[in-house]
Amino acid sequence: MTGLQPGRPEAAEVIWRWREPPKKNAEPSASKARIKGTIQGGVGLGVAAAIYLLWSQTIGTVVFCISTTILLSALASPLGLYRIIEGVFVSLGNHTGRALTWLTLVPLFYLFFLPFGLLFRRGRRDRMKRFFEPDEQSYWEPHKAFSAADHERQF
Amino acid sequence: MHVLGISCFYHDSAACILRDGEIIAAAQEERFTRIKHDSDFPANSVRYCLAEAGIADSKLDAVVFYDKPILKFHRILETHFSAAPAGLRLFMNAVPVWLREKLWIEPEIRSALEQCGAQAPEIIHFAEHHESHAASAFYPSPFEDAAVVTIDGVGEWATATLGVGEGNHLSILEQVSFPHSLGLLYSAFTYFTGFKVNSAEYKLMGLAPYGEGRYTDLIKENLIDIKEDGSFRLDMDYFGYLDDLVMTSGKFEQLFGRPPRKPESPITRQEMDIAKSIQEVTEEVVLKIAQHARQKTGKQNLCLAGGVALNCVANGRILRAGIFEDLWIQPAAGDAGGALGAALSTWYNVLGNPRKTDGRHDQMQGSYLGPEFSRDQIKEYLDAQGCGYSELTDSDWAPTLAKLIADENVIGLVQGRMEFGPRALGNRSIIGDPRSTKMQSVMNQKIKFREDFRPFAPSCLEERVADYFDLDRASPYMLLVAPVREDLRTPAEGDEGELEIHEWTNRARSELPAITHVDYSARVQSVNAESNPRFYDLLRAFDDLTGCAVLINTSFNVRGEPIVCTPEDAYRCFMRTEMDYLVLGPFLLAKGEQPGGNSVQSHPGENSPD
Ligand SMILES: [Fe+2]
Repeated sequence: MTGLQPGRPEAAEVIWRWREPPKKNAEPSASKARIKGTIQGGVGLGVAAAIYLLWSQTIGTVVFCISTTILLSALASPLGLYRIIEGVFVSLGNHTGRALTWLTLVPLFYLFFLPFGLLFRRGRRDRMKRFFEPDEQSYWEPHKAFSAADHERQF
Repeated sequence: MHVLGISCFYHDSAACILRDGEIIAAAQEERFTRIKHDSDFPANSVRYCLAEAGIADSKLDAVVFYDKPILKFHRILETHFSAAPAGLRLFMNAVPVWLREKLWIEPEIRSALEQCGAQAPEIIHFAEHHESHAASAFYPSPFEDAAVVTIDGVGEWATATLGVGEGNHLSILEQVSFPHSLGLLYSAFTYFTGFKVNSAEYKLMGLAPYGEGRYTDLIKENLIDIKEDGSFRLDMDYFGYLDDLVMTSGKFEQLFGRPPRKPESPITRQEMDIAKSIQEVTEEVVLKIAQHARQKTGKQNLCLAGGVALNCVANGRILRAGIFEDLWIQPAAGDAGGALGAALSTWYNVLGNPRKTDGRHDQMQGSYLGPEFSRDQIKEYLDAQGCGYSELTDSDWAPTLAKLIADENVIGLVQGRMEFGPRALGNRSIIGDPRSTKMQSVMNQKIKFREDFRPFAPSCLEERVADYFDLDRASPYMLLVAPVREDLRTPAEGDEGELEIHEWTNRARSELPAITHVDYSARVQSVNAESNPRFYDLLRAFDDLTGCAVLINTSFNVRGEPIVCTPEDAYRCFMRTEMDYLVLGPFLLAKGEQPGGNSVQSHPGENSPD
């Protein structure tokens, strides 16, 4: 056995920082919210103008209204109305993300995994080997020999 | 040369650092974040390891991850090919996480290391999951050559492997593949008996001695086909984990004529009998694998790792069966130990460095591989908090504590470096007098806030182990269960099977009731002066005072919480429970002398099930 090595106090210091005050949730800052909302609203207005001039007046007007609401709410009520609107957009974004995941993965499951899975199983190519083999002596399988080059691969 | 090993993103993330092949530090992330079985990137553990090695901010020579993500993803895809059209819920649960995170582990490791202040080398190594387990079992062992067996839930494809280690070379010869898994079979029963999967398997093992193996044949006839060489297959119709987020299927429930037990509901005889039955099946498989390993490799020694190697009852059976001359089990046998094994495999198997062994000593340093807090650091903290304490001199330390323990006080003990692995081995432990008849229920209910059917483990002076237990060798890592000696036992009175479980538990089984299970077994830790001088001194002082060379040793935590790491964690836990004294290095704190006095600052109900 290698000798007992004492732990270094400097190392203990790295993971025990009791002198630091506990991290509080960042206080919501009105000025930060105002700046953020102004930038979002400003960019939105620019996008609205581009859409209005180059593509569709209707869509441009809708984007203009949304951007103006964001901008005005950030300026007038950065910790009130603006935060509510921001929350709605975040939640909308999350739900959209989840919906897109389902919209892409569910068809993948049924159009790819199901047919190919059925095909594999018909050809007895089921890697899960869901059957007992009473006549076999062993279920041990040979393991690939170790090679140092394998260590540099994730497979 | 420094090699950093990392295990994470499944459960129990950890990091380990080697310097020229010597283990410098290893720690589980849960100890730092205080999130039990934390599986996130082990940023704190990495930071700690780098600091312990004194190489923060420098470039690492090698970094190795403990499994191969793409092979694992392949297994997940094959599972869905096999299960479709069933398994959509599982698919939608697993695949997005893989696409978003788990397939991009290399860039994630690089950026996380950068945030830890370290620079990763050009190449990041990826060991196979069971290669990591096998390396963690063989390379630190005292053996020049040995058979190596790993058994767990699942890695990439393998769920059990048999290999051989010789000098600095380790090779895996054969494997049993997913979905056929002894670890997952045991977990399925853990789930079915109402305990938490991947966490509370040891509770099922603790429940087994209360039961009878009424279902052993049923399990062997229906659920598992075991060959003579220990290899096996499961009948997947009984299990849910191929196509759902549950471990068992409706057919499994039909077989046992009941649904899974609801967590926290009363434990009945049926759960005890089920626990006993699955334990018997597990032991049969493990013994057969050990026999096969002996025949196949011709080696005289066996090394074990993987989650199933934490089943110390099965380990004790291997030892007593005399299949091998000796047995060495990695103390961090679960996935945390994969970080250590991956690093060792890189150092020896990949880089080809020579390995030295002496046949007697292992390389784990008692598994005391975590942080240690100095006297000055502790004192500064205690003073800042206004805690009441006294400082014990080196010569007073052990006798003072021994006297307190003999007076039936319960003591929280923090000293030296934190243990690596799931067991507290005397450096982050709660200790008490094993002779006391009330100690088991006091410690279970007022301190650990846990079920009272589980006895505590004994720590014993290494040279006195044979005076108390039928065990002819050291068991430094609490990984062997051995019977309490016959002459110390108290015979059972009447038919105990009729008793309520808590009544049954509280019947004294021996002269050391708090550490003796209903079947007269005990999970022994032997302590020598070399691996833990302080704890050894304490046991010796207790022996001098009382003639008893054994202490109760349970991990320093409450239910649902990781084992404490820092003096601050320990103090908080101390104040939340009815522990009488706290020892932080040389300092002794009495509960009554603390600001807030004896008040218990939290209610047991606040502790989530573990
Ligand atoms: Fe594992």
